[in-house]
Amino acid sequence: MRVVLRALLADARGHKLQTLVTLLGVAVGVAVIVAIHLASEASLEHFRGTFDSVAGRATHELNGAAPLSTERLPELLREPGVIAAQPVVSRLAVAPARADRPARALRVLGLDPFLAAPFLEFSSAARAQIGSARLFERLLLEHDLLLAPGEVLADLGLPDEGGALDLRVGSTTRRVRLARLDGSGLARSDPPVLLTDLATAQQLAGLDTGLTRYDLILDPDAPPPQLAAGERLARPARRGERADSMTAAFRTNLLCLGFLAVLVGAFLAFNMAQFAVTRRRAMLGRLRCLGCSAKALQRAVLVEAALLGLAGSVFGVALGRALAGTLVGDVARTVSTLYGRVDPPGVSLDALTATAALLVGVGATVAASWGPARSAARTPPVLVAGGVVRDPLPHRALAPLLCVFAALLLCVPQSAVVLPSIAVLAILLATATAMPHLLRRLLEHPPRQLVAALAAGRLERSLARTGAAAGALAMPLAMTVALLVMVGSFRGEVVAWAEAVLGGDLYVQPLEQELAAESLRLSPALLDAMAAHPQVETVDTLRLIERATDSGELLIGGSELEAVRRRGTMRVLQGGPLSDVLTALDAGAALISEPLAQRRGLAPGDSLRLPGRDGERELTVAAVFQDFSFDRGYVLLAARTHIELFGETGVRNAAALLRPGADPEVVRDALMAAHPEVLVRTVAKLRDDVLRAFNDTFAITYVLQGISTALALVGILTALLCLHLERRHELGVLRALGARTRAIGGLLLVEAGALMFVAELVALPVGLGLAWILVAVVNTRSFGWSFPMAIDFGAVSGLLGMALVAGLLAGLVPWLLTRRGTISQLLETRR
Amino acid sequence: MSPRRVARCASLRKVYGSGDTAVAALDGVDVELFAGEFVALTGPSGSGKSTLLHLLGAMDTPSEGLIEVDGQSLTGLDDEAASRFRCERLGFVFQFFHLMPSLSAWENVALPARFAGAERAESEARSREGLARVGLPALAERFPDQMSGGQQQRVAIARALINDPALVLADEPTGNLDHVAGAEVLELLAELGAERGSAVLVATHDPAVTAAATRAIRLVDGKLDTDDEPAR
Amino acid sequence: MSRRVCLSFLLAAAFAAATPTALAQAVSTPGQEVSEPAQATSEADGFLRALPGRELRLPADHANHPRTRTEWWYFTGQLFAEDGREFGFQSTWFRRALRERLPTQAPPLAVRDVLLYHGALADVDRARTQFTERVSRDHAPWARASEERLEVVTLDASLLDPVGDGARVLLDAPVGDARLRVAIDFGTVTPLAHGEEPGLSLKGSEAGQASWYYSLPRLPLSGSLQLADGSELAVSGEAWFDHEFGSSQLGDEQVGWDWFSVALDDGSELMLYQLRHTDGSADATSSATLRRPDGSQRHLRREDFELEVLERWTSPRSRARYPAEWALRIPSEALELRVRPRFADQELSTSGSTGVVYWEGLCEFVGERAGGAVMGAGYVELVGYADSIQGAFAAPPRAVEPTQDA
Repeated sequence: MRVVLRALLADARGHKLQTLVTLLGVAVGVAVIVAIHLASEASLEHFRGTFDSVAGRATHELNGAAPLSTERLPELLREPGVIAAQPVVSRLAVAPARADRPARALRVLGLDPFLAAPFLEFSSAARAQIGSARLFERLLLEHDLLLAPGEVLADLGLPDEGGALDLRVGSTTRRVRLARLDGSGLARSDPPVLLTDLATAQQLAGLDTGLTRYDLILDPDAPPPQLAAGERLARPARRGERADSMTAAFRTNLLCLGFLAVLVGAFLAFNMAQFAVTRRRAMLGRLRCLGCSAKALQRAVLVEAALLGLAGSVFGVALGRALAGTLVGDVARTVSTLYGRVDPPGVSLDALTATAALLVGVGATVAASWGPARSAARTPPVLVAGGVVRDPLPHRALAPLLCVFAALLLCVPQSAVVLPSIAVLAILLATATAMPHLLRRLLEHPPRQLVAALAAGRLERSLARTGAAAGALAMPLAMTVALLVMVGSFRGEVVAWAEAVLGGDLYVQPLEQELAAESLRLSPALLDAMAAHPQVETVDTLRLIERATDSGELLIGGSELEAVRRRGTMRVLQGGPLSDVLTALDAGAALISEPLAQRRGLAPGDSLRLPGRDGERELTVAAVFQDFSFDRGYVLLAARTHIELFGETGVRNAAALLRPGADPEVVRDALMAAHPEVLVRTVAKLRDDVLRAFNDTFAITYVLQGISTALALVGILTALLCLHLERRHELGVLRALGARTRAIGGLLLVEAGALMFVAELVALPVGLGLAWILVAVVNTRSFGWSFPMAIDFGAVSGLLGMALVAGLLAGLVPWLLTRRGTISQLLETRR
Repeated sequence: MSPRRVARCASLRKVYGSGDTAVAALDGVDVELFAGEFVALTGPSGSGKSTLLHLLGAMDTPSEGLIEVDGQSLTGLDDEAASRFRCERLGFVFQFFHLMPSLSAWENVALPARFAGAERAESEARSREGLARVGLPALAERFPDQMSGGQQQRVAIARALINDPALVLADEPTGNLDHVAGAEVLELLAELGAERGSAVLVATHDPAVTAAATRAIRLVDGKLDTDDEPAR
Repeated sequence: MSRRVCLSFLLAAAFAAATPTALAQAVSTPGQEVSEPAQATSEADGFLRALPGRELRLPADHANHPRTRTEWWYFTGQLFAEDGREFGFQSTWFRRALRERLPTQAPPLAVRDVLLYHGALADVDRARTQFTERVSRDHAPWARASEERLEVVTLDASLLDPVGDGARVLLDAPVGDARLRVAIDFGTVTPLAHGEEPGLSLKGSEAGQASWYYSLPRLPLSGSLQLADGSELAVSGEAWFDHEFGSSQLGDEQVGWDWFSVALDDGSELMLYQLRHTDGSADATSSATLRRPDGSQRHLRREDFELEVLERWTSPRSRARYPAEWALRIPSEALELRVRPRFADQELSTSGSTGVVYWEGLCEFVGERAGGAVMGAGYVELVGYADSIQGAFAAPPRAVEPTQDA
């Protein structure tokens, strides 16, 4: 066997270009898998683990309606499920404007240094600084000292040590001193955090001995701690957590794309490996003639395949790693826009991914070589004089079977997204396996035109490979079409909703949007100021709280709904005309969002139980309304009902309806100047922000998709190159017979064009079908929103056009290679 | 009347590689070919037979020397002109037939005509005529993989002659054929060549070819060894 | 004595360094280097120094002495479970003042004292030791020490005298992964007051370089030990109680100490400590207290006893070489003891995070006194054999398990 192996490897060395192309194909396939996996894993992990300076490593927060008592701490520590607990005082503060800078919103964060250890994470530089400057000790002893990162101090115009600041917390102003501490991770908070001792923070916040909350690290396997009346346990509203809820979309996408990458990658590797064996059929036959046993030959071929596969995969892993590095920058940018500043995570190639990718590469190569190796080993040597060597095509029944399988999966009524995702992949695989057969059908009746006929003939004779290449391209193309349509439809709906539903003129919210931090409220003074403004006609407020109910954890909002009453800005999906809905609301009924209705099977007329402060209350569901602000269950009540049920929980957001003719920007500027602790946006800006957030969520999808497609195009290129290498002599003959170089170029273009055309022809309907699955099944199940499928043919044709151009360019590469040689060189390649 | 000169090489040299590794495939060859001749080009392997054929076929350019076919100097021809020349004035027959597997017999034969600019209908007509001339009218619609080696080569001959070339170049045309088929092919070549007034140059190892030829040129190590004109 | 002061400093470093390393400094004297002479600064800081002329009055002196800078209440002992298992335990409450008085208008939670707790459980059968620590500011619901009675609480570790007469004390605290809840009988025991002047334990030549120090040996205890797996064992045994308070500082040349305590079965009790220098020699202030069965007590100086190391044990974690067997001789008392740990690995370290690594373990003392065979169980503490581990962050406050089966 060794002799045979050496012969094979010598042949590989002899045909350097072909071997290289094989390796490239395998490498590219593996690179796709590695790049997408690493980039998405790094992003998600980094994201989930991103240290949030406010919540740190806490798994839960204990909140209450009123400031919490310090006496809770020892009780909490005695609970078996509590691994760690720390008291926290957290208050927004303002550094008033000065001559050299405007007012600044800040957050005072008071922690107990003795108890904070399990929750905080300091860089080693920070720890060194804390040590050498004895910072914590000073915090304990000096009751007017707060620590801030260098950039915050610079922004406030203060020195590194001892700078005085008049800090306004609530309605009192105190003079404090600031000292510098970097590397605490606090710089990334928005608003910036001033860290201090618990006692100092309490005094600044006027809390006496009360606390804002307790941060907890709970043992997930132990029962949750017992809560006192009025207390609530919530997950901290940190970025990682928010990611969990919003990245259901993200993850579904990435999961699908990851598998797609594996499919495309394996396909390419498979394709190339198969080619490597069939190309050498003659040589293998001759080896048999010389006395090599069938088994030895087969084994040698497989070993060679494994070696080539390994070489290609190793290169592919390195390539994928490099690719992931650039990808991840894009992801970080996306995520930063969405969730706040995030540094691009480092991409590290872990052994598991590398091994898995190598296995896929080698596995695909060996698997591809298996069939041809076996048949080559079995058949007696044939002096090939024009005998047609046919690569095996995927079984004809495979594609229909996969489609049936997919259909079955889709029929399973389940709330998980996994099954439909598998169905999507099955359909993609069916597309790829059906492609050679589709091609054959198409080429059955060759065209009359000479060049076309020649091209058709060449394609038909290497059907397995060209079919596989086309299939490998059709998959990501179809997926891209599907995603384009799905996202486009979604976006269309969100835009329409934003247009229809945002009825106010100005939107006011506290600077930091933390869903669980109930301490964040718009002050009554602010609301009064808004209402009193001459240009403001009326003010619509939103109270928003989170409660655990038997329908899950719900967001419960209460609003006067002024905008809706005056401007009709609500989309009711089920439940009758708006006027009836408003009447019902005023009578104490509830509105629910679509995700809630979907997930809990609630419809107008059903009852909903909510835990009020006086016990549970049953409310009637008046209607289901469209809302994209939260993908969690959301209940909307009339303000009066909300206050009745939960007491005065404070206003979370407010919208101002301006008098006709008023200039929203002027009013906005006036409000923000007087109240720097809030963010005021015009409705136009808000709509923009909504759209931008939406786009950014899916931006990464496009990036990853683009990579997949680009790499599939490389697959086409390698397939065409292989074809070319095999049939160079034909081109030589044609040239000898008088064909111009341009004509040859035309022939190759037509070949490439035909492949691309078929791939796109198939990708389009498949993509649209997949889009339907994504919209109607996957989306509905993962979020609960429904929206109509709207096909943006412009975008779709743009995509397909671009792919076509790229494919044609790929087709020209062999031509460029041909041009340089002489005809006799071409002829001589036929041995 | 003296026969028309179809091709001429003077001091023809073709060197591959450079410096120490330079190999002269042809090292100063002077040859003339005349219309109606059936010339056998012989010599040991590596003596430059194929090279000479390729040079005469405007498929490669000489390193040194002059080469002229049908009054047209082949040096300095650009791709466009060379291609046109090839399809209009030259015909090729290869050892491995080199028919386009995806085209039928008549379509294969028609290729050079199409490349020369003839219309479809006209090319088809001439092609079928040519097939008839080589005795294969019934196989016009057949594909190469449905024909025997001999039949394929005869189709190739028809292809080579469709444009009435001045010079037909054949590289081991009988190399892949059995004795009988080979003899048929030779007969055809000689006959048709004489009929149309083309010169036929056949590079070969096959003694049968030499026997059928009117002239035998022998190359050794890139140089002309003998050039007899067998007595008639 | 000075051992305790050293220990207190190191303990403070250890516990406080369960939080950011530098917190250790928060608990140390502000703005002071260790090597500075203590006396003058103690005075300047307003803390009460240990000087002659103060009589020890019990049970009043069981309570907190906020005017001193440091103070600790220290239990070591032996537990026997109903199922036959044997444990050693250690529970220490420790107070370290950051400042003598709070500024006017200080916020309610301003820190005056830092209260720490340290608990360890040695499972003799499994030869495993586990360790817990707690730290808190002196905010009453979290941690407090009463000035009226023996009552010290640090988060979930509490030491209470419910009646207030010092007769019976309830201990409810984490020891390693387990929780110890026992009632300790103080009432019947006569205290052992250490030092030449009973109760004043000197550690340096200057006035004020001392602390008040007494022990209560042979304290019967009973209660329960709740293990990590949830099972609850009824336990009973005996404890040794140390209480020390003062405001003095450490010597610079000391690298560590060895401390022994034992109640022997002939009715005698011994407390001995030896301070070690960098060159290995014993410090002149090393001393011991022996109480004979007849109740008479004797203070022993360094020259009165010999301590010979017979065996050593290397810790697989810290690579420190601890003594693992001693021959202890007090010729003038005709006392000869072999001291051997019940099992080797009773090293306590805050697993790779910060702080001090030392060995504190249950040992058996066997030998002769005045011609008769004696034996007893007691604790030995070995400090300064390992380098202290500085650096990264602490594990969560629940039990840290530094040791494996020996």
